[in-house]
Amino acid sequence: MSDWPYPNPIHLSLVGIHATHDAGYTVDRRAGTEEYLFDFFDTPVVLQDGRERRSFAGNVFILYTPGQPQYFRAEAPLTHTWFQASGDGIAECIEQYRIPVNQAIEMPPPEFLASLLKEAHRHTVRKQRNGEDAVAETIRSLFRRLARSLYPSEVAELSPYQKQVLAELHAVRAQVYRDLRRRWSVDDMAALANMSAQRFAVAYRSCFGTSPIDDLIDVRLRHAEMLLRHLPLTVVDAAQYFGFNTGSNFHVLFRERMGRSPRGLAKSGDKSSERLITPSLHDEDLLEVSEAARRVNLLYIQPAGYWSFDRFDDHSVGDDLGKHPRAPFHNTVAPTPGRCGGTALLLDGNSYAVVPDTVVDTAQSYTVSAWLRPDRWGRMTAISLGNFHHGAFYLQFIDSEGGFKFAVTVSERDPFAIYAPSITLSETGVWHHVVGVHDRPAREIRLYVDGKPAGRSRFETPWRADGPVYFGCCQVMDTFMDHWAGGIDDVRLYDRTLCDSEIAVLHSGDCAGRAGKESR
Amino acid sequence: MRSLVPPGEIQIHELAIDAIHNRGFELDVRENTPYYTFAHYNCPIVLEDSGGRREWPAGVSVLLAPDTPRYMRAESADLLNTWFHCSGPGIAPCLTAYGIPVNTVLDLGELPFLRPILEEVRQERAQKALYWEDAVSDLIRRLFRELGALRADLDNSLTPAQRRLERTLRDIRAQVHSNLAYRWTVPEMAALGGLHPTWFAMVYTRQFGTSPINDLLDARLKHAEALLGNLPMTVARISADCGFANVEHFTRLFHKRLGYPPGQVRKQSTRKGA
Repeated sequence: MSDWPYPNPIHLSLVGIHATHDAGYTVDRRAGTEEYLFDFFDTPVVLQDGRERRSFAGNVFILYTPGQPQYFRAEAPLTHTWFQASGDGIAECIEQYRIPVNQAIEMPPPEFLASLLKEAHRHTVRKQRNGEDAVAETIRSLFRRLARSLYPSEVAELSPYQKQVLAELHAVRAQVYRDLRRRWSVDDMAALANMSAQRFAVAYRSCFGTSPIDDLIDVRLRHAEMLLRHLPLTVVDAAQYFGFNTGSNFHVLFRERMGRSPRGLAKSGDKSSERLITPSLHDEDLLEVSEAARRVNLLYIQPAGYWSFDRFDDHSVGDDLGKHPRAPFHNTVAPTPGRCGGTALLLDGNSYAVVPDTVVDTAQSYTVSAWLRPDRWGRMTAISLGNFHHGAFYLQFIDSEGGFKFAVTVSERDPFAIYAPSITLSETGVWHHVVGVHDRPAREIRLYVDGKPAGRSRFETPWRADGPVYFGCCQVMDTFMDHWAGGIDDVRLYDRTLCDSEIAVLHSGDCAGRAGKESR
Repeated sequence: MRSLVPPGEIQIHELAIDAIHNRGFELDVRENTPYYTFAHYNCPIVLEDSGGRREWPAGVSVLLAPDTPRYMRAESADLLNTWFHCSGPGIAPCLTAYGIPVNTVLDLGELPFLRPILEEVRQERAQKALYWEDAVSDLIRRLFRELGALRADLDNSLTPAQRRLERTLRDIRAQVHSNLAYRWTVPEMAALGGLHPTWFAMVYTRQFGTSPINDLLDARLKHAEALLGNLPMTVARISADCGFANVEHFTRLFHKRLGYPPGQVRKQSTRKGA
């Protein structure tokens, strides 16, 4: 840290913008200059490049360091843009942005060069207060943009327009997923995105790797599988429910894509899930169950969404209750051993998963519960839900702000955050049970860490978000940021507040319940 | 060789441009703010700073230091504000160098630079091109610099008209000195800012300590000297490039003002190069 905004100044002494010279113009300075010389040649030129002299067809630049012999000669009329500058700030810039020196580099004409040089020169002659800093900043910006042109492929980023298209596709997909019984056509879907059907299909395939209709059939089959496994339905019921014309068409598709017969699935049924589901289906049984079972029912069956992450493929993960579409992964997501048995989501600080559904209404009371294992220090978001502009809530780990944090934003248009932080953590790589509660009637938010209350804050202005749920990042102004590096397990979202005792049960009960499931 | 210290980093955590709330909106955060918050209000607003709590007219700005209370309430109109949270080692030097007080409401009126800079920050954050963190740091430094300049302008007890005039003169000087080859006349210069020539010459001399033509000649000769020392152009070409119609006139003036003839500069630099 230093005491000046720009500890190393940059002085601009001479500037030539699109300067012209006659044919035969030659510069030959054996001892170089005392300053740095940057020169971009629009027209053909012969340059000293290292030990030899080479001729270039134009669109080439060279940056000479002080004392370096300079030679260039134009056989034809010459146009070039150049500047001489001095000061330690130049050396710092060159090093920081890895600008090659004393060698000729060919590149397309940098359109920013003339305008930034004019700006820097203007700052030099205008004699404004702190004008030196303005010059330093402008020249730094010039070198930074030069570096971006020189190393373009290092970050393959989407343009804002591409991002917008991507966001629209995700939104359309979420809407389609929410209404699987409707007989969607590609035209209908394209209309939602204001695109032509053809363009929509192409964009959809490039974004999700599958055609819109195939994707729809897949998700319907996955839902049918979930229903068949958990509910006492016939195959024909399931087929009709999802709008398949005939049972046999459904049967063929199911066999083809899921690799087995739907009938076999309906008969065998997953016993463990069945046991959990049954009480809610038979009211007379429900009357018999004990208070403990009722609590289990409320905590484990009623969440608006539950992701145990015990079963997932390379590309996506589904929720255990079958209420939401599968969450596709972005970048590398791997399974990691869960907190006690099973598996958890392992994110590498770049990857994240998106549940294309607004699982809870953030304007009302809700609870978000998860087991989190931060693997490094820093600023990371485990779970967030918001609109495309910013989150309505973030469940985060921020070491500089005290550890875990449950943050909510004050309005749809304003990302100002109010939050309840936790006590400071002493180590990373350890699982913690973290719960954020929004209590609408009490007008406050609460944070629980490892079953105990950790912090609370007043919150007056809840708003309803309509975006997807993110595991492992948050979206702030079209940007995915604060990526999670570490494990995420057993995420539950409830559309109500959980009381202190329920959260304590979740904290202590998860392990026991999981151990029981494993031993069966 | 001594090690080079790059400018300290500045991170933007969150930012909002023209965020809107209904009248009556209140925010009261007492603790847990590990970052600086800058806010500019386009509406009358009740704020709390080191001088206590009171209502301010539209157009005030405030920079709150970490761990100071954040309080605002839109009492008499809907709330329209632009704000950002930032932190990092680069902030403190900016505040000192550019003279920006913290926890003090500044009544600076419109901030014309605020929106373009923040839009650019937003763009950088969205695109994440190479060295975008650095670009964001530089942009925020620029914002603080502009803020400091505006504040200093308002503090130097000039009337708004005087301030406008001063800015006009700087702009004219920048335009004139960016094109040294052109044969400028005082009326032409004055016309750039829509001023009367006599009046222009008078206020120019008062501001820069030298008359417009003398200032221009000095700049031309300085440029010519640099060119003579650096480029293999003939003295005639250089004198033409620097806006002198006549080489003899150039040589005479050069000798008179700088104390040695142009040829001497050329000879010295050739000896050095050989």
